[in-house]
Amino acid sequence: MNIDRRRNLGPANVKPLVFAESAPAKQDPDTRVFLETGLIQNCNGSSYLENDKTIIITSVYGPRPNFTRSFNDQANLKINVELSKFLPLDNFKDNQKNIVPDKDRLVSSLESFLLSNYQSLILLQNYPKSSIEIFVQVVALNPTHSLLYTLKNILNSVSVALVDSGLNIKAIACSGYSGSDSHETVVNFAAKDEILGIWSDFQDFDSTFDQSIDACENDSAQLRKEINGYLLKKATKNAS
Amino acid sequence: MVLSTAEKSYIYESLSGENTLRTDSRKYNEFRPLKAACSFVPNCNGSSRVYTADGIECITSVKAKVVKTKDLANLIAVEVDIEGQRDNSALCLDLSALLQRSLVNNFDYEILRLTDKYYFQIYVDVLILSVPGDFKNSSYTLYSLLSLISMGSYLALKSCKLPLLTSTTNDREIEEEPSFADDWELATDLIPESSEFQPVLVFVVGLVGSNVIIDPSLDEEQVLENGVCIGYSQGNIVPPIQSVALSTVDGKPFDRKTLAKATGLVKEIGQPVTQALDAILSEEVDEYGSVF
Repeated sequence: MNIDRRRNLGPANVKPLVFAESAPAKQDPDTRVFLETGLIQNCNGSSYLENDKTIIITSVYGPRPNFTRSFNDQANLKINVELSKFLPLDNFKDNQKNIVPDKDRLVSSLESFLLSNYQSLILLQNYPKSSIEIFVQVVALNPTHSLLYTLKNILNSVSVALVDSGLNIKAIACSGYSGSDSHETVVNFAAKDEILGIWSDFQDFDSTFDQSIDACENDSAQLRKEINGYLLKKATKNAS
Repeated sequence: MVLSTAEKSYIYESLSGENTLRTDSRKYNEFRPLKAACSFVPNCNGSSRVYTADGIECITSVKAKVVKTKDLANLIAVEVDIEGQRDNSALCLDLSALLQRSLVNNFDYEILRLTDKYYFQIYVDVLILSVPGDFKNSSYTLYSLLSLISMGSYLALKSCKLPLLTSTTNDREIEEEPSFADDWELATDLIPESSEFQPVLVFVVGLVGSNVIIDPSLDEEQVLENGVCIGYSQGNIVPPIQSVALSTVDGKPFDRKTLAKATGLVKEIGQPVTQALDAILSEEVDEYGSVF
């Protein structure tokens, strides 16, 4: 039996409705960074980092005596991340998937990643029976910044605050970011080819993975030059 | 076990030496023996129990619910609970987030699709029993549980059975609520055998010197310099590729060669581990079934 399906399918020459793109066009992030150290007086070291409307404040407290355990042969490192209320976290999606992570889970992921990074950087053995606490506050966030791009800013902010605190560290860490439509990678470098931590959501793992680490290394080297220049300028200014 | 400085130095030297010597005489690419069973929780769609020789046990259940949604990423919910830890402790939250992220990023949503409008939403609940007693005094962390948890979720997802859909799969023109067969004998697999999709497995790799070791034991974790978790699915490295803190002692940076070694190791062992887990799935479970 022939069924007339025209009512369901519509005329043959129909054109589909197309709505204008509602999401803002993706722009290359502004990589310029404003950096200032030592703004907070009551802590051992602090930094203020501003990058394209994202503002991150880091303060380092310690080494402070720690008597919670019977014996600590090295310092106990604690990291606390605070995302201010009403931050636009919509762009903190995982990869290309439309999932906005739970804020508590996000914070603990960031904290544990930072911990794994800075445990390898700070000479914790030089501070027995003590604790070192690092507080990171994301005060403002550019809505177009992704999770990993913000993570890069956080890592750099913590690294500079650690230099300001005068704690014994192995090197000045500097992180680099590489991102495209399909993947994002952040690598924190202590020096050339010395990786403190990596966070990558690389879907198609092949030779381009190496290229993305190369891109991170270049980004970090460029930033390192700027940061070293700033720190040196500040140190010579203080000395004179 | 809390290790003395001399013990730590001894283990470190043996692990970082030319031929990696591990405390339990495993090879660098060898897992500790573990046992597993599937489909033993009667009121879940899929379940698994994975336990190691040292008594750490991971019970995973998968439950499915029919939802009307367009937002595919919210179809997978993961919750990890660890005995003796609060639900909102950093460890539980972070392990949940890591597992959820790895599943969401590497999932074939087509297998959850019922009709054009209706999908199955799956809840993966993980419970870790018997955490080592000296956990609070030692310098290791429990992030190494990640590989155990991911194996548990792999088995639970693969053993997940769903009722047979009897209504039409095409509701593009007329909305129709899906209806299912009452007979559980007709139940279908969430991941059909014909499908190439495999749930992601996350491996924890310890880095020490220029050496890499898979599945670090708690003693080894105390001397490791760094740790990375790496996802594996269908013969490929998949996200997450992420550093994890395996201990609270200070570590060292690693170079790109070591990172490449770690990904190579996961690529090498991914296939045998998948085969071993698939062999467990094909075994008939009667151990628990006979009880009821």
